Amino acid sequence: MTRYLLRRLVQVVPLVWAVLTLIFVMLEAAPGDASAYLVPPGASAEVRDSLRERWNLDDPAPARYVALLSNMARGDLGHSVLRGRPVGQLVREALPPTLLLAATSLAFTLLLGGALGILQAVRRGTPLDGAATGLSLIVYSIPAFWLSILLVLVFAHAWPVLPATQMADPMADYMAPLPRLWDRITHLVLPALALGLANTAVVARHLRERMVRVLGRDFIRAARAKGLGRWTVVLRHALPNSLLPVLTLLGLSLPFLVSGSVIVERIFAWPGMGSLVVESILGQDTPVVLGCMLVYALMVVMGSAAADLLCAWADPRIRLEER
Amino acid sequence: MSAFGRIVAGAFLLADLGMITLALVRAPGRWSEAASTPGEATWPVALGVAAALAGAGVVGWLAARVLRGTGADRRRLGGLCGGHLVGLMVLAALLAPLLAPHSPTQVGIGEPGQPPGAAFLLGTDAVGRDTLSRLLYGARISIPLGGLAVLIATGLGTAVGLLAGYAGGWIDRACLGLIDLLMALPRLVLLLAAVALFGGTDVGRFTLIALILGLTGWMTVARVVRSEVLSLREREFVLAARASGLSPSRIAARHVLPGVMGAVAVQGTLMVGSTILLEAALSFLGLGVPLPTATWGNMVGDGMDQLSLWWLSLFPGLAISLTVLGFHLFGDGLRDTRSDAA
Repeated sequence: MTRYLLRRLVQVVPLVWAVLTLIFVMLEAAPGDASAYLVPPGASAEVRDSLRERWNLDDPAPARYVALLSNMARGDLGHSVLRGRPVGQLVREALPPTLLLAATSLAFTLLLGGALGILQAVRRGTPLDGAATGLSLIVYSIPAFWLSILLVLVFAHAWPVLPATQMADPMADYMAPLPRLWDRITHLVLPALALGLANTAVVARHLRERMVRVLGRDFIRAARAKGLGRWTVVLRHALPNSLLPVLTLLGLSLPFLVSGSVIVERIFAWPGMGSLVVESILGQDTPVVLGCMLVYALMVVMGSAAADLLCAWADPRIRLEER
Repeated sequence: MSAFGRIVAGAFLLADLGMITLALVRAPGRWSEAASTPGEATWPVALGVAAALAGAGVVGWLAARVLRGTGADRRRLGGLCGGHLVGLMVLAALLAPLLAPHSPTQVGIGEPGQPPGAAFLLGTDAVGRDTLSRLLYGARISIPLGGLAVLIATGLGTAVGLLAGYAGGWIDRACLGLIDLLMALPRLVLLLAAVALFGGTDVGRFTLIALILGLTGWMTVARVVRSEVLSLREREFVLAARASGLSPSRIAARHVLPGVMGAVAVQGTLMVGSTILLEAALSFLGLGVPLPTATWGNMVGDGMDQLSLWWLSLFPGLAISLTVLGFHLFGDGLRDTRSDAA
């Protein structure tokens, strides 16, 4: 286990380096730089030059690359060119909302997708199974941004029961603890649903496929034969043996979750990483983009490592050292 | 074929037939209109007529199969529906100049913000453009763009997968490393960066987006091809080819490659759907094919700014979902037929 984690840690470094270099080269190859967004159109040449000087925009690209990366290695993510604030601070503010949204939608995905997949496997071949398969495929084909708008149209306009923007009510700070918690939860529902529904279909589909195969195995019949109840067999014996592909899938779907959150955050005005990275890319704010990419790459690596660990926990036959 | 299957197939055929008939009826009028307007080409109309005639031939052939009772059984119903959905959308894209009642970009054709009704079947937007016409022309962006991107991705993915699987050794490890690296990046963020940064260059937006989608989407194909190649290369016919003295590159290209093309076709069809979704997302964020060209994605984006005009976002979103669903169903159907044959 320790050896596995150490090896994973060593693998992270070249991966992160390659990601950052790729993004830096892309930002450099593009025409223009942040000064186009920093300097008002009518400003004098002196103002522009002083601003370029202030942010070292005239240094040669290799020098800025080395400076950025060596500072990063020392834990200093640099300053945002557009906002004039430390990147570390920006990321620290934007990360918790994104993680909250991702975790909520992941929990929702696992619960709903898991329940549906189990039900489909147990009731295989019934109309319920067929209908759920069809529904999963339809849900999987719906674009997240359209689903978000539909949810807003239905639950915030036609039948206004849920808030459609922001993370909390503007007056939330003046509320009592319980209403404040409730306010938080209601703000989470629509974006988490929009982000998680497509993945729910994927989880249900894979879990059903795997579980159908597991349910046909001899040890299931043995468990039934020794008098265990039907659902005990399904939940205690079949489910742990069917979870592996789902766990791997969830680990691999982390980049997707991040991508999806870019759109969902924009629609619901959610103040997270997605909003930050889009604005920074559009403004060619290199330090912030690199900082966000660093966080994304780390999240992806941690996601797949967590999936590996969970797999090893769910199935002791898997040896981590060999993966 | 089951009765249910016949009903579904019949409904699809009627829809095809209706579209083709409408297009052919409108064709002479559109032709003279285009010929008399300076600056407008007549070839889209000619292409539309050719597509309508070809479509009529396909519909006739399918109808004969359905009537004879051959064709899809109930289990293949999904693939049949998918193929037909895709066919309908492609037909709509090809026939757009004939079918569209109005210009997709002309402002003020009707009262702004009119709900769906007799005059404008799917309503008008905030500046009085016809939603139905925009929807039909939008199909001419999403579908070819998705197809082109997938063509690039499958080509590149097959090449890399074949190389990695057949060469093995350090080449294999290097390819796998590259695949892992690219898969660790959130694709949409990469796309956003590429389009935002290079969108202003001379390459057309359409080509640029197709290229970027293709270059960031080949990894799954490469993985599938690699694993297929790994099992194929141990088979006797490859051993025989090697024994008869063929060079490794020739064996890979002429003996192993044909064996993986089926898997590539399945993977490619399934990928068109997700690629169209990504393109629509880019368009939605305002980074797709630029305005005033109508794309399904930017139409949904338009609708988000005017939520009270619900039809603006509802119909283009429905078009995206149906097309993507069609490709998914069709791809699943292809996979099932392949596993039946194996």
